[in-house]
Parts: sequence; C-alpha cells; structure tokens
Amino acid sequence: MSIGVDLYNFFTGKLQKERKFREEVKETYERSVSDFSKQIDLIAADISSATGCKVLVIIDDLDKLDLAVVKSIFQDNVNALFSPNIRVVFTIPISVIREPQIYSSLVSRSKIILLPVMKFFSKETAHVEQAEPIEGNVAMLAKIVEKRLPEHLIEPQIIRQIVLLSGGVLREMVRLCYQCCQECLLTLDLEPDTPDFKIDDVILAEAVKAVRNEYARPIGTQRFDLLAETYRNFRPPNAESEEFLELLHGLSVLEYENDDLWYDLHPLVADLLRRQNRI
Amino acid sequence: MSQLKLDTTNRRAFRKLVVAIKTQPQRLNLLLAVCDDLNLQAQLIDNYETELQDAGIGTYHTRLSHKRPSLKAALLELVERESALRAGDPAVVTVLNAGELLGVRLTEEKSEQEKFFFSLQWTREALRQFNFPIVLWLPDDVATRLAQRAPDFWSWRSGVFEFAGNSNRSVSMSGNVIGSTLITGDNNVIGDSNIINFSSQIPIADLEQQIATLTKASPESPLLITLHNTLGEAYERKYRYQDALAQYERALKHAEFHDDKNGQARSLRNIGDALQDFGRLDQAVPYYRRALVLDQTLQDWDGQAATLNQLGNTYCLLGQHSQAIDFYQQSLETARKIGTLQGAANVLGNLGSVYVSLGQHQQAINFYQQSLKIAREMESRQIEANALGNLGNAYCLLGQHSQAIDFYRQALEIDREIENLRGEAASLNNLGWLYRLLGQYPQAIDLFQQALEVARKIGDGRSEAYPLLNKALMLEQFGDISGARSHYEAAKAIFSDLGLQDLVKRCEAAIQALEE
Repeated sequence: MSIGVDLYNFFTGKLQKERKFREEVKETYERSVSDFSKQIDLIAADISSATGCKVLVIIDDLDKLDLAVVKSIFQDNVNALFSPNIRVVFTIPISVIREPQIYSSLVSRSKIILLPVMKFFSKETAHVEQAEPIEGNVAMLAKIVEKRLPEHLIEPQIIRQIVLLSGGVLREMVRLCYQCCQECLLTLDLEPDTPDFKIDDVILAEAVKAVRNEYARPIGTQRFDLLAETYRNFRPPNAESEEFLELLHGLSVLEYENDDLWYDLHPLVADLLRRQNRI
Repeated sequence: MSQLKLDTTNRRAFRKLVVAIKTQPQRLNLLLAVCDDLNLQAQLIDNYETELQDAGIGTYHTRLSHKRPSLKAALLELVERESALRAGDPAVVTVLNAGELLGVRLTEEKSEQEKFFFSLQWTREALRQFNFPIVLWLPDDVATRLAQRAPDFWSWRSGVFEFAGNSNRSVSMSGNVIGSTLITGDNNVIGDSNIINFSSQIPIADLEQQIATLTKASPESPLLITLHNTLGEAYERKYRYQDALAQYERALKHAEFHDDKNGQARSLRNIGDALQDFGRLDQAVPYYRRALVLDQTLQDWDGQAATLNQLGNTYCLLGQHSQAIDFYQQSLETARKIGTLQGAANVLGNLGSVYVSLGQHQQAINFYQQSLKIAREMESRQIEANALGNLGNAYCLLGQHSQAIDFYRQALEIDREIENLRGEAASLNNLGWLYRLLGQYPQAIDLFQQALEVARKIGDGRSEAYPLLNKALMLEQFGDISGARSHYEAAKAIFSDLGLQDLVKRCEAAIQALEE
C-alpha cells in the first residue's frame, strides 16, 4: 500500500490514537472495500496462527442507531460487510429485521438467528385470566432472581410475580428487582424503626408503579390506540410502520414466536391500558 | 440551605433520590430528575447536597453547553477540574441546563436537543469511566423526548424521580413592552427590552385548535403564517420561549414557501426576539439583520422601527454601546417619522439605559423622563414601569438614594399589578442593591432571594444571574464562603451561557479571591 494506514501493522502494533486511526482507515479504504476486507482477512489469519483459534468478531450496539442509519449500513454496504472471510456476529434488535428491505438484504448474505423473548403463555392463553404459565420458563428466570436476591429478603411468590411482570425480558426483570430494593431502602429511610422486612406485595406494588410510569413516558398519548389494537389482535395493523417498530424497539410491544410470530404488550404496558379502560 | 417543604409525593421522590445516591456513591448510576419548577429544583438540589456532604459525599455541578450539548463532554471537563472525582472519592454530580437546549433546528441540521440525545445514545458506554452517580435534571417535555429519541440511554436509567411544582406555564403577562434594567455591583447595566406585537389576544387553546384544524384541512394555507406567528407570540408572553421558537420556525417555512416577504420579516424578527429572550444574543443578530433587509425592501416602517430597536437591545446587552446607540437612534427617527408614540417611548427608555452604561446619568435621566411622559400620556403601564425602574437606577448611581427607592417602589408596584415578572425580578434586584448600599444587609439579601425566585419562575437566565451575583457578594461579606462560592459559580455559568465575558471574569476573580 502506498498511501494511508497499514491496518495490519496497526493491529499488530499498538492500539493507540484510535480516533485519528479511524479517520485514516476511512480515507484509505473508502474507495476500495476489497482492500479493506483483504486486510481484515490477513489480521484474522495472523490471530489464528498465533493463537491456534478460529476468529469470531462480534459487532454490538447497532441497536443504538436510528432505523434509517441501520438501513443504510445494511442496504448500501451489505457486500462490504460480509466480504471478509471470518465469522461475524452482528447483534441487531428485532425491530430492524421487521423492516422488509433490510430483512431481504440480510437474509441473502447471512443466517438470521432470532433470539426470542422468553415466553410464558401461548398465544391462545395469553389473555386468558388465571391461565397457567409455562412453568419451565418461569422457573428459569426465577432462578436468576434467586441468585441475585438472598432468600430471606424476598417472598417466594413475589419472585414469581416479578418474573411474570417482566414479560420475559431479562433486563426488565432486573430493573423490577432493583426498583424493589430501592423501595425497601426508601422504607428504611422514611421509617428507620421498621423491623426486619422482606420484598412483599406492598413493596412490589410501589416498584411496579414506578416502572409503569417510566414505561408510559415514551409512549405518548397518540400511540395508545395502536397498542390497544395490537393487544386485541396479537398483531399491529401494519408491522412495518415506523411507529410500531419504535414501540417494539422500546419494549412496549414484545414479539413472541410459535409457528408464526405474534405480538403482545409488555405486561406493565398492558396494565397502563387497562387503567385507561382501553383494553 | 432553604427549608424544604414538600408534599407527600414530592417528599417520597426526594427521599428515593437521596437513598439512590447514598447507596452507591462510588458507582455510575444514571438518575433522571424531572421538574418544571426551577425554584423547587434549586431547593431540592440545595437540600440533597447539604445532606450528602454531611454524609461524606462530595457534591459537584456541571452544565450542558448549548454549543456542545454532550453529557460526556461536560463530565470529562468536570473530572479534569476536580481531583476528588478522579480519585474515586464518594461523590454525586448534578447536571443542569438540559432545559436550556433549543428544540428547534433553525439553520442547523440538528437542534441542540437532538444533538444532546444523539450524544447520549452514543456515549453511554463511555460513561462507564465515571464512578459516581449522575443526577440529570430535565424538564418534563425534554424527559419525554429523551425517552423517545435516546431509547438506549433511557434503558440504562437507574431511576426517574418526578417532582411536581409550580411551573411558569400558568403565569401570564399583560403588558406589551418590556424594558427593565438590571443593575449589579458597579455601573453594569443591562437594558432588556422587547417589542411584542399584540395583534391578537386570542386564547392559546383556540389558536392551537385552529392550527390543528387548518393543517389537516389545508396544510399549505398561507393563513398558517399568521397563525403560527400569533401563537408563538402568545407563548412568548407566557415565557414559553422554546414553544414560541418552534412556532416561528414553522411560520417562516410557510412564509418562504409562499414567498410572503411580510410574513418572513415578522417570523425572522420573532425568532430573533425569542432567541434574545432566551439569552442567545449572538444567534439573534443574524435573524434581525435578515428581517431588517426585508423591512427595508417592503418599506415597512413599523417593522423597521421594531427591528432596529431590537438590534439596539441586542448590542446593548452585548455591551457594544456605540452600535446600540446607533440602532436606537435609527429606530427613534423611524418611529417619529410615522408617529408611533409607543415605539418612541420604548426606544427613548432604551437609549437612556445605554447612557447609564456610559456613565452619563443626567443625559440618561432626560431620556427616561421623556419616555415616562409619553408612557403616562398613552397609559402604557409597562413602559411607565420600565421608565420608573430606570430612573431609580440613574438616581441610585447619582447617589440620590431616597429618590431611587421611591422610583423602584413605584416600578415594583406596577410590575406586580400587570404581572410583568421580568420587571418584578429587576425591580427587586435593584431595590436589593440599594439596600446593600445603605448597609441594610438582611433586607438586601431577602430582596435578592425574592428576585431569584421570580426569575426562576419564568426560567430567565439573565434575570437570575444578577441577583445570584449580588447575593454572592452579600454572602461573602457575611463570611459564608461556601455559599458565596456556589452563588458565584452559578452566576458565572449563566453569564458564560449568555456570552457576557466581562461578568464571567468578574465572577472568576471573585472566586479566586475567595480561595485566597
């Protein structure tokens, strides 16, 4: 290479001056993506021979981008992205592959593996009162809570409620647990003489209230109708509309998988709609 | 520390916030505090900082810069400055100013708010380097937009703490011209004036409804130019500058689409006004200049007089007095040519304020008296209040204190009667200054505090900065070093946002002197 940066020497050298380096990479390879992927192949080969291991690259954080930006990355650069001869895992949010054009670019060049949300109910029983949840799945998430919260600090049936209220989303389950702990600390702060207590119904109710209000904020009043319709039909009127994809991205709507896909509201969002008599 | 009286809901949220900070003072924790009432916000911060300091947790402030609206940049700069934060001592950092970021794009590709949300979305990982809880204060509408526009950052929140207070939204203002003067330690005087065109007193809700209906039925209707401008002006009278700017921006787009020069001139002048009111003086000037060119092309004398006056105000606020005088005189000539008394009265008052800045008090008094005379003839209460307040300043500077008090009290009475909060804040601040000169310190501090509270009601940085500075001087005099420092710091930050470098330097010198 006559100009610009030598990617290979850079990686085998020191990883400093990252910002300047990025600019140089852009300048050098902007017009010649094939050179770029050759360089990546060389680096991978070097790592393989040095370590005796195969190389796996994980590209995370694409979910932070606006849908429009993700679109241009995958649609306009699909060849470049998949040209190096190494294994790459891109983590992308479900809302991205629900965009038909991106989906077709991706599916032609890669294998899409869907990591669905943990499901507690089948579509048939999802809105049935007193329906029995899928116990194996509940137990799996319950174990995570049990590992994080000592037994003497939480009542067992509360763990189950927390799991079910998470809608199967791990991060939101952790959020609820964290909120419960904050509520306990608040109680101790307001009433320092309270004897030993556990995370119970009262604490959970306060935690749920706080998280539910946080869910309400980004939804905005205009989207409640769309949510109500999604709830009633297990699918939105238009699964490709930007409005719906944003709700999916924000976890107000969750996607579940059976033989076909179906959608449901996050339990706390369903709760919001129930309070407004919309469902 | 001011005594905090909170209702049950606010108290719960407050204690929860304190507990969240106390639990993990050496770990990154993103705590979002939502509040529309700046007085309540100031009290809450004051109270948690005192409590946390007693618990051995260091308290720090930083402000988002509208020039570079990035949380990470603000924190990096703070950490660079504070060794305790680098050392990982228990600490909490309060982040202010999110409400001051503009939500409109103007000539930029992205609005300040959009830049902020984008940076939040992208610097989340970078925040991991900070080992302390961060309390980010947000007005309610900004919090909602943040949740929508920066979902990734939002998902990282450890808690949202909502506080209900008295927001400025319920305040109304009945006068039509503002022109008060704020005076600080020496002869620094600021003429703060703004012509608002009262073409309409249609209630805001009606205007909003009309715009919604028309936009749906006929989205390209030229009537929308007038409607958006009128609604913007109505918002501005309620001190809702951000909302006003958004309306003016829409009006301008419609006016450009229809090649309506009058509509463009009005929209441009309005954008300038809102930016000026928002303290963005540099940003206001190009809009006024564009409006002026159109006014001249159209031979719109009313418009020219108004735009010239506003240019004068902006330069006066920037401390560029000869330019200010030049614009005022052109405005005065134009106003006299077409015989608009109100315009003339307003400009005369503003001219007086420049002469005060130049130390020519007698000359200033002449202008103020002329302004007062016309205002009384026309029964324009607001210009009358402005003239009285300004006369108070001039007599104060001449050392004629009893006359000054008399003028200030008259001004204050009118300001309160017509609910002119900016004027009220100025009058309270100026009275405070006078009492300080007279050695009546407790009254002075009390008046500065009152001025501060009124200024925060309207969210007006300029009205807030002067009483802050004045209160700092008093606290220093009483030996309350940490109180004085925090007031100087807060005043300095606002002056810096406003681009008033002389006053920034003055605060810096005062802080430096405290250290020594």
